[in-house]
Amino acid sequence: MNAIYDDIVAGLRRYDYVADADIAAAMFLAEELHKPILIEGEAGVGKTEIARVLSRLKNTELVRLQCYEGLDFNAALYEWNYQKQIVSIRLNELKHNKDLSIDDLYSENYLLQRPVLKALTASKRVVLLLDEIDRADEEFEALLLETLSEYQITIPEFGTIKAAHVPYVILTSNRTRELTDALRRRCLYLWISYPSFQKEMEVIQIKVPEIGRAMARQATNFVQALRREKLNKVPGLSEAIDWAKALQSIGVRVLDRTGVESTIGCLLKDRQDIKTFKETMIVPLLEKAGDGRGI
Amino acid sequence: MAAAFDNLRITTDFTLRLCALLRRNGVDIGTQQSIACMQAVLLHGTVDQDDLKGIYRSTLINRKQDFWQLHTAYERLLKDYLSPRLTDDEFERHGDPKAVVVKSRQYSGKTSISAIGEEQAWTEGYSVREVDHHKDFRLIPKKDMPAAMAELRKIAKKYASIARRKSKRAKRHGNIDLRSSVRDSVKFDGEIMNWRFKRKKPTHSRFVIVSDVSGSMEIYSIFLLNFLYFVNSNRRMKMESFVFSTRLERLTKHFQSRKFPEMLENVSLHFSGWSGGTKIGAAIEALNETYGSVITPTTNVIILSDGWDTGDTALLDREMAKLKSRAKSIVWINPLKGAPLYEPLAIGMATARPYCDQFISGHSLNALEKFVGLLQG
Repeated sequence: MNAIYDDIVAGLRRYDYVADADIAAAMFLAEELHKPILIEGEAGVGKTEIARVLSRLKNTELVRLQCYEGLDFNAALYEWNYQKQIVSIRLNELKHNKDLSIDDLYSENYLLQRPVLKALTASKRVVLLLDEIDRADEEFEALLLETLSEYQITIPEFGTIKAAHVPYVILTSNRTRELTDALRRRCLYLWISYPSFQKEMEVIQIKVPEIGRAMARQATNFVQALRREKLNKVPGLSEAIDWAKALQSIGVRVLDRTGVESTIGCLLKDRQDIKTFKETMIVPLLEKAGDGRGI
Repeated sequence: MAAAFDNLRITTDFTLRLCALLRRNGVDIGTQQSIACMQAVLLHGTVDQDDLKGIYRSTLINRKQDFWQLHTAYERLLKDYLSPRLTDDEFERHGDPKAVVVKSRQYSGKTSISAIGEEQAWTEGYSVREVDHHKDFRLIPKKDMPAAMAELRKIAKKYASIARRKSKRAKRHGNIDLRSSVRDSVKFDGEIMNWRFKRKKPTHSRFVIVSDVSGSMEIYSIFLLNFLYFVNSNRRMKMESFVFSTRLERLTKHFQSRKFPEMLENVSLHFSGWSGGTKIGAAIEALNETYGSVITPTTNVIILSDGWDTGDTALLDREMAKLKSRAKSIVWINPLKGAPLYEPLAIGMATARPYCDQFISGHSLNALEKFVGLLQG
């Protein structure tokens, strides 16, 4: 079984995603059991990236739905094209054509496909990403239940549309609110925590190859130590990558105080954090990250 | 170890037992999930422990905080499973959900005489206390509620009189005040004619309790409400009580009703936001603005909430800073903190955490007992 997981990990690695056995297991089970994956974790640890990489790995389309408060079925599932319906009715009146029936007006021609319906009716298995589902309302979760368990949508005026090719569904959540049990029960669960030193260094080297091994090691050490400090907003992996890019672009070869201070905005996104960082944290962190020469 | 799982029949059996054990420990596992888990196990055929754990993690668990439950249940079951001493009959007895389960350490509340290993074991027996004080409120069955409430009342009563270190003169009660007596003796040429007495002065600290009664706190809020009622019935403490979900309501005078059912009725009449969403920022803002007068430099603010916030975190940040600057101290009681792997990750909690002087758990009778101890100083 490890061989299958290794294949998946190697496949993801080809597309610059460093995965572990848990991620591979979740992806394997999602494919075999036709179940959605609910990914939770801190901000910026690569939850959304999984969907993007999966679509490239399977060589298929990524259908993305960014959730927000107030999102409803019109924007997520489907919508009737009212303008087209009215124009058709008007044209019909002008032409004195009696062929147009109510059923015609509520047919597929007048149906606007929103991301979820688009994923179900696609001609091959696509990846459907429901990003930051915790931002949407609880009612919206209820709307998704049918799709997530049966891979179908029931439209009252039209009937039930069943997926010809079951899509890979990935839901991500930042845990700003508790998701309902009904939704959780229908999904496989995957928790992604902050990466280990090895993983983070590997990712930084892949994403910013120009940075060099020694500098990548220093930067990773620094970020890992920073995460252990008491901060309001702990930097994620994506912030670490941005920071590494920033360091590389301004030509920092050895991590020093000036370099760190001028680029810290990439890592810390909170005014108070930056203030305390500059006042108290920077010297001990630089000591931990390197040999202390940069202080 | 891997050989133990080679046999698919054993793995299936193990999985089913694990599902049952997790359910009994309060982890919400639906039939769909156990079916998915079994399908995954069958799909793998022969599996080793790591694979199996991976499968359990992704199929049976749907919350980060349940990982610990899975880990402990898995380890315990595995230990039982591989133990040569345990026969099938014994195992059945251990797994019987109807067994009376009381931890032996609860006996008389004194230092346990049982060995350390025994604490983990399922021991049948009896206890003077009817309710496990360390048990999470979520896991207390309905039939044990009245007993739990009685325990709660006992705790609140026990700490009803809060004495401070300061003392004041008393006529005939309390301890002898030697210093004052000696000073008084000066006028009698050093002969102590009248003994002076002193007694502890009761506290006049002011407390403002702000309790979250939103949906996510539903299971805890009934206990916390009871607790608020019992603590409020102590007239010596100057206490203001507020509840909030999406808005804040001052319920001090209702909590002071003499009868508990009367209090419940009044409270439910005057607050309609039970089990709603949570807007901690807006609630704290209302506390600062509308009820600003109750917050003085001697006020201890106690917030009972799990920190799941659907409101504006910038507002929460601003208002917590304001509250912090005006109150003596802020204590945050979070029932979720009782979970072994809990980290204050909910955005509301993460925002408010830096402003709190104390951050404690309130998920069990024992935790609340500790909290009242803290009030006592």
